[in-house]
Amino acid sequence: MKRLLPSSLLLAAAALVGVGNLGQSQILRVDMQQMVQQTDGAVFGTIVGSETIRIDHPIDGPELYYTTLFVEGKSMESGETTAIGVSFPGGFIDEVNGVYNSEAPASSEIEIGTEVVVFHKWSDNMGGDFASNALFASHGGVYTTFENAAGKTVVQGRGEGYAIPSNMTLQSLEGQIRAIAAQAR
Amino acid sequence: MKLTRLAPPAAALAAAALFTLSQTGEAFNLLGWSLGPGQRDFRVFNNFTDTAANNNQTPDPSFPGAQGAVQAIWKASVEWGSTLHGDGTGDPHQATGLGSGQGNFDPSFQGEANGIGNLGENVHSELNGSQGGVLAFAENNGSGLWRIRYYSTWTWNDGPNTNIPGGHFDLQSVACHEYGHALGLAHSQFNSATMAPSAAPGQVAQRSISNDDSNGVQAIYGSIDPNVKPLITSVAISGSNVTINGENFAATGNTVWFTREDGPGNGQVLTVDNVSSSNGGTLITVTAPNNAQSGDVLVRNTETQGKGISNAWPVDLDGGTTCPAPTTYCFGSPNSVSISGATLTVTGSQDTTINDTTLTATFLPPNQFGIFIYGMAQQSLPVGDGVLCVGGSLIRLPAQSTGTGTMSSTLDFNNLPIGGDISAGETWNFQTWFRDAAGGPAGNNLSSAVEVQFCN
Repeated sequence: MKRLLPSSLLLAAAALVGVGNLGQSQILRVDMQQMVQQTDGAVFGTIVGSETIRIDHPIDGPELYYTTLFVEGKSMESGETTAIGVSFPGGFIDEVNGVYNSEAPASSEIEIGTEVVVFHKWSDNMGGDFASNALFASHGGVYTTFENAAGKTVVQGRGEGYAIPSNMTLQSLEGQIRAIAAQAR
Repeated sequence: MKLTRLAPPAAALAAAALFTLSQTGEAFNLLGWSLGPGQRDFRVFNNFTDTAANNNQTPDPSFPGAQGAVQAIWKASVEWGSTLHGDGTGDPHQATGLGSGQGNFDPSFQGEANGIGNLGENVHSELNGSQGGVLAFAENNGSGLWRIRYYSTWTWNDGPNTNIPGGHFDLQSVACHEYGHALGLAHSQFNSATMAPSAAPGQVAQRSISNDDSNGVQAIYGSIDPNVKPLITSVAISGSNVTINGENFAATGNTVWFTREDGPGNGQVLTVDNVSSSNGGTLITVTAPNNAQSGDVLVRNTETQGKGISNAWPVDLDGGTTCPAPTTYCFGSPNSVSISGATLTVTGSQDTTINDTTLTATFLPPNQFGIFIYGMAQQSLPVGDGVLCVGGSLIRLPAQSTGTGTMSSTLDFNNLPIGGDISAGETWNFQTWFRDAAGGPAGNNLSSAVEVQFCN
């Protein structure tokens, strides 16, 4: 019987949790090319904070909650150091006040300290006149990472229908994004 | 920490566990909540701004009274039902019929809402704005209070055909997916499932739930128990009398659910309680509440849980005789208080089951007595100082005082004079005869006359 190395077990566990933590939304089906073309950019970095606000809007309705993740890292396209806040509908201000949104990323994906790749696009109005850099496609726009046995950073794929369907190295993803962006911009 | 905060991580764990079962063919994931029997209702706030979202104005007998976005979302919801919705027609995409997926969650359509509403009001509505890449979302507080929003940035199309233009999103498909979230389903790993995470423009496949979706919703709400669950097999309507044929109705204590009429209601189901069945639990006859509108009817037997709720069956409560507004066809002659003569108006419903048709005569001489008369024919015959415009066999209501110059009477359809019974579909003519000693040589006169068609 082949003995599984600890690192292999970790990879398997990471893949399992990655699939299990799928968000719950209906999002636009995009491949990587479409994702890069339709967003303003992507950032690889660490979630250093988050904030949830509530808006009660006279037209768009009451109880609109938005969560903003603050990510510090580097631009996937330019490699420059950057910091950005990316927002999505849903979240809790405290134990009672908030809402689970079907499109929001799983809580485990957006814990403070988590290293992620986020795709963002500015929106003048995400509902309730809330303007922010939207986390594009919500859970479909955030991808967690882990370090493989070779010490390389791997971006976890989410499966078919997502821009990153399967695991790939951060380096490879950077290359793809730069190539597509160079064509598109 | 509150249990509600634990739900998504728990769901994630469940999802991870279920992923290990995907080799056996199950790919659904659960969110960790469910809707109780009191959360079966849904409504639509039709604030959709795209023309394509409301350009289907073709009535569908399986979805009576609803067109456009409302009809599309209604179809999406009943797809999760335990069996066919009525005869299953309404979606050309599904040869096997709407509801054929047998998801076993039977929702209760509660008409249109007049606002977005809070969580728990269970309203579908459009949300102004965009969050790039997100089509729509369901919100839930973690204990079953939900709401669904559709981003206005997309072009929504109400179908009902399957040839959705490439730049449009099929509202029925996306609504079917989002309603799955409201029921407690997360995304499925099956790309062909309605609960697959992403969708493309023009796609209609997600209108029809897959076996995986059905298994998922049954994992939450249980499978169909044919010995317990009421089953409606047909519904007949005569006036406001609704005859429901089916199985597993309780001998006594059934509750019949109707769709509530439009208005600022809270989405609570309109019910008729403590209804008995006959023929061994296969027949229920009930009178629809006055404020019930066309929609679905469901029967809940005495089982306390959701398994005691039947399938939803469409009922067209407005499909009876049409009822045009009353028409004045003959005018009063001058009398002692008005050169234009006395006026008769007919107000209230013309629905004989509602029993509030009201006759009011004005511009009468005070402190005299008068009589409302009615008949099925019309004529123009000088009588007294006026003109008798009602013909045929004249029926008289009891005499009453004209008081300060007005008299009024509400017809009691259950207690009309002999020979004067009024039924739906009939047209009757009404007029007021009154004494007016100072008004002319004859000392009596007549008001204007009104033709009234009755319906139910």
